[in-house]
Amino acid sequence: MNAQTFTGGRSRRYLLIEDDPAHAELVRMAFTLNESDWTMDHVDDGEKALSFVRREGEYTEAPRPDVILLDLKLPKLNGHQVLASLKSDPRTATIPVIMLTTSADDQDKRLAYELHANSYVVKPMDGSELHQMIRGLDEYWARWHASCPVGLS
Amino acid sequence: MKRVIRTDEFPLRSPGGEVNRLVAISTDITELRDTERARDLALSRLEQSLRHARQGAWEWDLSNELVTFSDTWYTMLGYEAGEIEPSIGSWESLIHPDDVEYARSELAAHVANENDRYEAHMRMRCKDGSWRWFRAIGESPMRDEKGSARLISGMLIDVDTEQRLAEQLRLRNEELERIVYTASHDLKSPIVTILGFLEHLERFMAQGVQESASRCVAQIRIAAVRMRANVDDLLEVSRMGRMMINPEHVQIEEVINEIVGVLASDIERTGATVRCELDHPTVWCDARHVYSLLENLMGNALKHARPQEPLVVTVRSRLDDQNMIILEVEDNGRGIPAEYREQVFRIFERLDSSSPGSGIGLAIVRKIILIWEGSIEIQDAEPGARFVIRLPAEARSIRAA
Repeated sequence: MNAQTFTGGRSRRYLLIEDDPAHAELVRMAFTLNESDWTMDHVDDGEKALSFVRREGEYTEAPRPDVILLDLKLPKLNGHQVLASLKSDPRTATIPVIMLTTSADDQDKRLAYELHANSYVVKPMDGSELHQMIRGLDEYWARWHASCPVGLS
Repeated sequence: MKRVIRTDEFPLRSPGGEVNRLVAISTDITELRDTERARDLALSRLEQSLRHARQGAWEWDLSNELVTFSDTWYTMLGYEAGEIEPSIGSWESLIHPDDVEYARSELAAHVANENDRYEAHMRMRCKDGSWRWFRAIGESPMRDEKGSARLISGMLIDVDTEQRLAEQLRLRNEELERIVYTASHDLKSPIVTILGFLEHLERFMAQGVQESASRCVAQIRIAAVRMRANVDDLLEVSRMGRMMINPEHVQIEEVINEIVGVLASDIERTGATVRCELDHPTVWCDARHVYSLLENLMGNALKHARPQEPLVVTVRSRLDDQNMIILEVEDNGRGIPAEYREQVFRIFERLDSSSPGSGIGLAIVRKIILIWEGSIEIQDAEPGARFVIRLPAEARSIRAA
């Protein structure tokens, strides 16, 4: 695991890949409402997403995301293509990817898991699914953090 | 009852060469003559039936390479009976290059006794140069004792109308599936937004955070407006497929003038030049469809100018050698990368989410092209994009045999 993932108590970051600005705002607000200390990075197409995680082009200073929230229907490269690139590159394969999409299509879902998505969440999330998801992420990283050897954290 | 008698006489000669006797043989051929008449009648009825059914017969005697085509075989293709030398080679010369290899290998398998029934769908060139779909069939060839085919025969059936309808149906089904898939995303998307912000709204209100609550309301309104626009767009595409069409020779230049009037403010704003190079003045279509095609394509061109480069939109028309009208709309704008040239025609699909429009224009264009059994492709104009539309120069009619 990359040691710089958690350095000196900096806030955790998630990368949201979403072309619909309203949906992006929705997710951002959900994190805010949950009083999480997550910071959002946001790109709105598949090509930018790959540049961001590879720190290429205008994203050479981009932080490494602790989790990626990935929409399926995206301009330039679609979510499946982005996912395949992320998971086949050893530099980015260990970043958890949660698909966040309106498509409940079985084929879309199967393909996402075949391409090693870590989770698949269909929008709209009923009730407070999004909040639960964020709390789950918080807990996961808190546990990971607690069990981690001192030198790494 | 009258009988028909046939008498044959044979002279007998003496050794000196003189005729000295006459032998006569009389045969009652009444039944034979009746049978022959019945046979001729049956044959002419058969040929007539085949003509009505638009089916030609063919026969290939492999022992002497003699090939026979029935009269209807020729007339179905627009030829006079016997106008082409009957041979397998001349048949193959009429088959579409994309189909000939397959037709040949199917026939070879039939001859080689690999399949007892021969069936091949192929396009064949008629005398007037047009292509029509045919189905060739053959069954149970006469074989010698080793099993090799000696004589094979079969039918050639005109299935052009069926094939075109099936193709149209397939394209429409594809389109429908695409629309349902896209609609399920694009209609759901604003609902997701509305439901999500409603939930946030409740929490902000409980917390008494007025400013954030107002932001939620604003987002809900935007989403509802977008939803209404998407539904309107879907209805428009659907209407395009259902409206009664009124085919006529539409004057292309008149349509362009009308569009230039409607787009005047966009043309002025972008400083664009519109050029016409119309080598063929008309197109066989519905005037509203021609308007919609050109308005969408010209309107798109105006949206995708390159910065610092005066935009030029060129509309061309010409007639090609396959009796198709080619309509081109070319610009020197940003162009469309090859990998997006298929998806831009899908409803609600936009290349660039920052560019204006709902992503319906090219979906309508494709729908119209489908109705008229034409085709559309996007080419590089270096720089810019060139939309090339091909439409049949005249309505396809089902030709009588």
